[in-house]
Amino acid sequence: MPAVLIDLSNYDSLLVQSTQGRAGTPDGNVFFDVANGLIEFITNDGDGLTTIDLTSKGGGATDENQLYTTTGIKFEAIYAFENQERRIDETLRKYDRYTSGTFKFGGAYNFVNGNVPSTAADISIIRGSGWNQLDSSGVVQKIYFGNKGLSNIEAASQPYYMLSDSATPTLNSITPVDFSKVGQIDEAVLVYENGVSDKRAYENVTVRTFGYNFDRKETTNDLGITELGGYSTGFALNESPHLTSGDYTLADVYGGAQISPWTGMGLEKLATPVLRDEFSNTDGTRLFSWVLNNSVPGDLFQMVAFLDALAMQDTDIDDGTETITYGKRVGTWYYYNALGQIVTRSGAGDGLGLYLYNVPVANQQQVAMTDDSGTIKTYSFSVSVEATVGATAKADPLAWYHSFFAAAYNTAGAVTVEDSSSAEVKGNASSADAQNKIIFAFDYTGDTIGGPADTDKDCVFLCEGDGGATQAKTLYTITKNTTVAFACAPPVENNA
Amino acid sequence: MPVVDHIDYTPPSPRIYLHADTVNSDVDTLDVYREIRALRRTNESHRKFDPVIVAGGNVEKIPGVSYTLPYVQLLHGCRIIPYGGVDHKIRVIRDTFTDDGLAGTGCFDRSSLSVEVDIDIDFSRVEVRIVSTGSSLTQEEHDQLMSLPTAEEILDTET
Repeated sequence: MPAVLIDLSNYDSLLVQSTQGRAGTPDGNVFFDVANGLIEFITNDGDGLTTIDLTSKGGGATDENQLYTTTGIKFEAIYAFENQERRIDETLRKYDRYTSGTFKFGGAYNFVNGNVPSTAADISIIRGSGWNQLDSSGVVQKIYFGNKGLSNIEAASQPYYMLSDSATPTLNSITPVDFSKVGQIDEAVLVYENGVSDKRAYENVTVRTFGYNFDRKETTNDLGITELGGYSTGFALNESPHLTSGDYTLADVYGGAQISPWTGMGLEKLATPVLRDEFSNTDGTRLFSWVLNNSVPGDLFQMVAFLDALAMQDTDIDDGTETITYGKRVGTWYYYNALGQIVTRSGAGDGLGLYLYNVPVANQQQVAMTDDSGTIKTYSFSVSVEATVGATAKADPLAWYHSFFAAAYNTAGAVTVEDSSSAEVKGNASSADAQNKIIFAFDYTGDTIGGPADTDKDCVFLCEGDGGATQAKTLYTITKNTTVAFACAPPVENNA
Repeated sequence: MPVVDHIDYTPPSPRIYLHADTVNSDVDTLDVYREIRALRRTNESHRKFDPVIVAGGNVEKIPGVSYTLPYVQLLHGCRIIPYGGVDHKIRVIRDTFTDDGLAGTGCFDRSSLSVEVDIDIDFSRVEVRIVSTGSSLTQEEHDQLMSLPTAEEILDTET
């Protein structure tokens, strides 16, 4: 029988009061340590109490102990169990109660009369509630705020939380704390300790698992809670498979075993912002204080995977000397907009921009970058034009390529196509890449040399040899697509 | 020696003007092709137009031994205009034809010339054979080679 959550529906058949604590020889899974004012929840997996005698509950003498750290016990079951035991156990009545209920459906209970859970494990096992811990005078000594996940969290994911006494904290200075168990969140966290700490102003819960979309929910901005208390609250914290990062392995992306192209990547806060002016317009400052260096380079999705990896590190992720920025604490470094584009941002909460170096032409329409003025910059619609000239032309040291707009081709007024950096598309075929391709970016939205901007343009691509290859001509049309690919591969020259 | 003086690519009647050095000499249109090929590489103004001359043939038949004859084809209405500065004679030594159904002297346009130019078409019509020097032929190979008809014999047969 799989482990079950113990709640009002099953507590009376699965819980048995023990005569000894876990340090002794427990014969039940709940121990009221009346001598010390403690309560213990003695588990199957954590304490090794695998079987208990449930004959008094209608079960067997050696039935499986269903109290597990993984599934836990709801406070409502603890409360009801104490009620039950005080009814049938007159000895227990001789002592003050351990629990009281405030509002069952809100998951609000109390440990009273100075009676408290014995250990951290006895706290983290409690599900579905927050609670106050009151001393014998009724003064609140501790407050535990119940955290309940409401959306999907993968079973192996490790969520964590951060608390602050400020409603607008500096996240970079808060140490994150992992919840005691992986998977879905259902656990209370200490937010107040009389005379010691008071962090009822702010909490965030976060899940960042590589290969999944990250999420963080804040009690302030997302839940609208101004003061955390001894009750349970749901967080719509959700993770789902990431569109692209799941294609990579974290160990390849970040850390000592990092491989190319991630070996060439690094996040850096610059002392002086860099001006980038390759975008489609001149709005905003176009200054970027944060940059992701990308020297190999990697493509956009490899950069995104790197940014994800950074956001999981509780170490300084700023390669520069300007800041000490803990990735796990601060925000993420991009988000998706309604168009599905990846939009960069500073995760450091400083309102600055993030620039990605060497975004391949083929990815430029999939990304937007936030500059230091908060202006979101996009690339012109760049078409990656890919002409396969073939191995024969590439091997001919005198072979050349040249592209003209078709409109005036075959006249003395023929106009050479220019790429997005205003360089004429011509050169030696030997410069083709390993796949024998000549690749250039064409500014679809900005080009007016070959006709009106933002229109399809017919072009001619010539590739001719001089000794090794003959001649080839290909008519092609630059359309508003990410890639326009064609072949223009002259055959072998037999008459060198 | 240079073969091509200049090229007028203007459609629909592109013209290749031969150089003065071709006067009273053999003209191999394959050289014309090669010169224009190089011009298109070195002078971008030539690239603005489609190529007006291509070469073909010279396809290997027996590896390392025999090849088909090379040929030259004029494209897009192109014709060759001999040098127009003096009366002279040229001998065309390459199979040359156009993509609009002309061959031999039909590839030449003398209509604009005020001088007299005789054009003699005279090229080998047999395959190209590679013969190793140094008398490495066997007697059998020698006899086979000698049994082939000469170009003149073939021409006589055709006429």
